[in-house]
Amino acid sequence: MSKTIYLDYNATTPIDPAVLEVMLPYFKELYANPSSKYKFAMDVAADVEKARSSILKHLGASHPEEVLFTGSATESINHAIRGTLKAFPNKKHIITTMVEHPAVLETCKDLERDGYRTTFLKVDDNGELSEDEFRSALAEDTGIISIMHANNETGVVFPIDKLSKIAKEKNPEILFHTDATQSMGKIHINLNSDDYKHIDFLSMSGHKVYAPKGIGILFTRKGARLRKFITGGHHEFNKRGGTLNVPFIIGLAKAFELFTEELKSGKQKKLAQTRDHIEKELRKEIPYLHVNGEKTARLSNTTNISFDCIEGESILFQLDKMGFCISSGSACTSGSLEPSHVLRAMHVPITSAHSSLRISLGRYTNSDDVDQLIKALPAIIARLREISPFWDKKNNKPNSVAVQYGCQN
Amino acid sequence: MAWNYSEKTKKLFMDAVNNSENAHIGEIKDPDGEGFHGSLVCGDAIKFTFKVEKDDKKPENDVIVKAKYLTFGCTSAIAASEALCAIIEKGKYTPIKALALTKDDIVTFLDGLPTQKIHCSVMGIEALYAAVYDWAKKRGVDLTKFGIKNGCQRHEDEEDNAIVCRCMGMTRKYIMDQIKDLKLKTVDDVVNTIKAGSVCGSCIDEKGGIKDILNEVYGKSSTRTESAAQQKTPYQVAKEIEKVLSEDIIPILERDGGGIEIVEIRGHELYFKLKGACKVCHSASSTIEYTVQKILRDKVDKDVKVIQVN
Repeated sequence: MSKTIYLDYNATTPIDPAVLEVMLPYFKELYANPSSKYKFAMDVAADVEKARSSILKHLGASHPEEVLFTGSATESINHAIRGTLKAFPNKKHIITTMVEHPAVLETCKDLERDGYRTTFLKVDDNGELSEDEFRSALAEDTGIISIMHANNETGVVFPIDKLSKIAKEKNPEILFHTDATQSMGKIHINLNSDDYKHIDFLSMSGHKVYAPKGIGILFTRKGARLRKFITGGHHEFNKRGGTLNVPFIIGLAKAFELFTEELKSGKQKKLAQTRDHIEKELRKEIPYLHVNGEKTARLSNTTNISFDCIEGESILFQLDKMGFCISSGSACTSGSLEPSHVLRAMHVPITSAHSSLRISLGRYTNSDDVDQLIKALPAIIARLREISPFWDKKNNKPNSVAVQYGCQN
Repeated sequence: MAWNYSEKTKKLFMDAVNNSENAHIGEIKDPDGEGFHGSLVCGDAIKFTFKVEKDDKKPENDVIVKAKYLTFGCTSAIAASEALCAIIEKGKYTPIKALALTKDDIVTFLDGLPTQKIHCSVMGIEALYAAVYDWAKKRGVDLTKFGIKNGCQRHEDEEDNAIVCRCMGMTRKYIMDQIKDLKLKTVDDVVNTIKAGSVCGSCIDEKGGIKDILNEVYGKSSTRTESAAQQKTPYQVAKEIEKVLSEDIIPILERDGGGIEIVEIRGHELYFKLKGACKVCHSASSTIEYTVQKILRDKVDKDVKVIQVN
């Protein structure tokens, strides 16, 4: 088995050793339930609150009860969307986008079964939303807007600052939620700044920021009405039932500290350079290659590339054999037999949508990993094209059959 | 999804991409039989060609001696193509005998395929059949004299082996056995448990499809109940069909670079032609016909019939 070359940081990140270290005592000697009322427990509770206020500071939030610890970003998203609608029984309309994570899409679709209406905003070929369409979607009874900050597949960043402002100007009662799972740690977010002050709810997940899986945050701006989603004890200011996951909370606070430092260090700029280098080098070697979302603001660590006339799973299979961990939007890698909903919404031609690769870089990506990918990929693509009945081997371009399907010649 | 491919499948795929000497990649020049199945839109396609050793007196005794393929698709689609060529070359089949091969031969050769990938083996077999028909045409062999009906209906006389779910390559017998064994009661049970009808869905409602099989198993005659109420005039129906087409259906197809053109609306019958990307996609045409019909039946009238013309 060859060495693992991990290039899938948007799927998950490894736990930073410093994060793991601060967690360990809470698995061992500091095991008390922070809800108990003796000193042993109250000391642990104090550590939890210290962690909370540290996170609070990094997020630019003002009040402890604005930061709720949850089990995952998916839980946070469900809480924000469902909890808001429950708090406003007369609001029956949701606005979101076609390219959200299933955590949002499926929640909206489920609510539609209960009589709610959802507007799924379209994106253009570059993956961008239309402000006009957004404006006209705002309705009398719009209860919540849920728009992701950055897309998990393409890295395309939505202008949530602008959109939340537009929404509040139209009707201050409409609440705005953003799924910041992918942007957290990659873009500096200060919820107290003018840019983000109209955001009412924000969801994020620990395992995308070098903390463990199984911990998330729901930021809920003070005053934003929200019904409880997970009922139970009076934990988390009576907003979320369930015993606090102490070690993970402590770890998450450390992760916030680390990525805040990292954001100041210019690491993201370096990742963007590495990403641009990958795209440039692959372009040199591989004809008929498309970078999806490249014309708009993107996360610095993400590139989504597709290739005409071949299928993604057979690329991934070979990359996997060589030790690369990369994701694909190909239908064959999922159970659904449908290519990525994000790429289809961006009108990526069906001739290349089947072959998309998502490469996402992170804290531990080194130039050697990237060089190996740049070296390996062109041969894999070239060989699969040789096998493809849609490729003209002689002229190294799509053949006449592929052109019929709309391939550029 | 994890790749739970057999070792054999993985090996054949790697043989193909490494162009090892036992791989069958390529196209035979001036082939005696050529068949194509699948499309770029749908995610897999194969071009299959073979060469025969000719029997000058009796062309029906030609023997396939060489087979090659070009395949666009996932790991298992390429491995299934390799399997097909290997089976054909090893068996010294006459083209007519090759028609007796089924997707199960490919699946067995590969030591099994994940359920979601069964369609890869079906694709290979369909390309083989197409190539045999091409050979018969070129060699002037009348296949009907050998008890073979044309096109995809070759299993017609073996009702149980008829493929019901074409996307997943599941036969009537298989679906029926599974319904009985697993005590599946509803269409949803069938779709969710064995994935029959889970892709394009066209086999759910059609004659002899999943609903009919369920009814047969549980002894009901038919679920399609007639209601005389709410009869619309033919004019109303035609108007509504037009409205739903232009508002709900055509915009979706156009977004994908395809489309349909209305040829005529006669009472409850809509005659149409495919345009753009849909036109060149063989698999799309039946899916679109079904989908359009389903939407129109839901929104206009349950008796609407959609007919594609060329």
